[in-house]
Amino acid sequence: MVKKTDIQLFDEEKGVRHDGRRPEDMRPVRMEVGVLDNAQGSALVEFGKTRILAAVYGPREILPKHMTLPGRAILRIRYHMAPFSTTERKNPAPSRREIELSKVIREALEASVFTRLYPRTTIDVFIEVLQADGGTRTAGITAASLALADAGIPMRDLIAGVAVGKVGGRIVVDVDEVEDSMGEADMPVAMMPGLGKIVLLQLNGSLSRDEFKQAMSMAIDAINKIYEMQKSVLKEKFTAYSEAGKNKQQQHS
Amino acid sequence: MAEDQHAAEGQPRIMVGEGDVVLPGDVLAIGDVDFNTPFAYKDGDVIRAAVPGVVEIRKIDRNGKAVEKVHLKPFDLTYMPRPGHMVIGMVIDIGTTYWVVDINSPYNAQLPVGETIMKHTGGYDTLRRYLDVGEYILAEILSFDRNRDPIISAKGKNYGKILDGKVIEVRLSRVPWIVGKKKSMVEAIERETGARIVIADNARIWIKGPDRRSEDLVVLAIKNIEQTKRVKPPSVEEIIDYIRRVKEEV
Repeated sequence: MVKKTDIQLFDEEKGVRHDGRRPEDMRPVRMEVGVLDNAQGSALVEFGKTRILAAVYGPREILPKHMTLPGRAILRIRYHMAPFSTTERKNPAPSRREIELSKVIREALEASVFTRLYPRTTIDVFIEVLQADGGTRTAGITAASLALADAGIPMRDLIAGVAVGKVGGRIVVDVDEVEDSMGEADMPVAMMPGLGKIVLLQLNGSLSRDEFKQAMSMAIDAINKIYEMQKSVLKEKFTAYSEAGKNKQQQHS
Repeated sequence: MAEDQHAAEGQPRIMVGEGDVVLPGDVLAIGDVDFNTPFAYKDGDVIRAAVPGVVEIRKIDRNGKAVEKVHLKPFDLTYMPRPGHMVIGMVIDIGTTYWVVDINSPYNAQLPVGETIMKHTGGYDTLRRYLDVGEYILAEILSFDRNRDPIISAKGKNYGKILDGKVIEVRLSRVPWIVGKKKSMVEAIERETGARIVIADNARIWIKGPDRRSEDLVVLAIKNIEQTKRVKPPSVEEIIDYIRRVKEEV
């Protein structure tokens, strides 16, 4: 195994990062919906080696009953890292970090889901990190949003997210584990791109004003790409159901 | 030029066509256009989709003027109870004067003793003798709103405990296909198999046939209509052929 200190984070000569990507490049992204039969909606999202499974159940009755809200549905998010997701075994009990991430992801999704349509119910979202290599919270939101759409739960827009960071003095898109732990800054961003609204923004480390602006615009470009991928994977699934869509595809090809 | 542009902006415009597949956030129309909630929503002047679905453009009458309405048909639905609906419920709990019934929706229904043919109550054991946990009932929704769980009644004609036959669950968005145009599909299956089919509004179907074989035939026929790989409703002939083929095979 390569020691982390041996890695050159940014090669100034070639202008590439430690894994050969240019600063604005994302890792290869793969998405799939409807991967679980027992869940109402589900999605699998991969950003390079980061691999995340999301499952949605509901709207359904809340247990325990005292959590019920009279005017709207509650969203319960469980962001969890599998014990085998990291190089060293992770204790499966929810850590401080996982509880915090569940909260920020819930707040991001609450901006999108029409919770007032289903009062006194719950929508449960399970986000399971199968393999962690940086950017799990943004990949988790992307997967959760896809799973919610797959479940047919009314929402304002899909949510897509990506983490940008500062590595070797350069602003880079989609930071991985090495860049996250050794870089100077890490900034996860999630948006509803169709509406142009930011639903999650965190910053670890420090960025100057100009760096922040640059990082933000790079994040928005990447998010728009992810958004298009989300749409095409959902469309692929649902076009198979609809005759009209099928005719249309034939016309295009 | 500027005036033209203004006129174009003020005019309601539909941005999608019949049969388009749309996803949450997609723009359906701009301006004063009719649409169906909660599957679409208005964000300022823009009407957007809230669920994945297929677009249907319907002609409706608004104040004596014929206008177009964007109707979004969702791919997946959650059953929401409405007064007057006929539902098939399964008893999941028994109280002192009521049963708690699962009606395939996010809300469990209550069936009070007074809404059944039982005359008086003698507590838990008497209730249990009439209707036990796990048993099915055909009932009507009396009331439901955002603040209260639905109340159902099993008093009317044809309503009451389901004693024989089979109850199956299907996808709510496929129910119109199973019923067919003017009930053509369900009636054809009934004729072919000799079974009686009751399709409740909550996507549960009660099948009662002269024997088990005919009931199984109906289940197979319904599952055939419902399967996800279908892109359009099958014709009545197709399903009848299917039933006859299965009959011969068995």
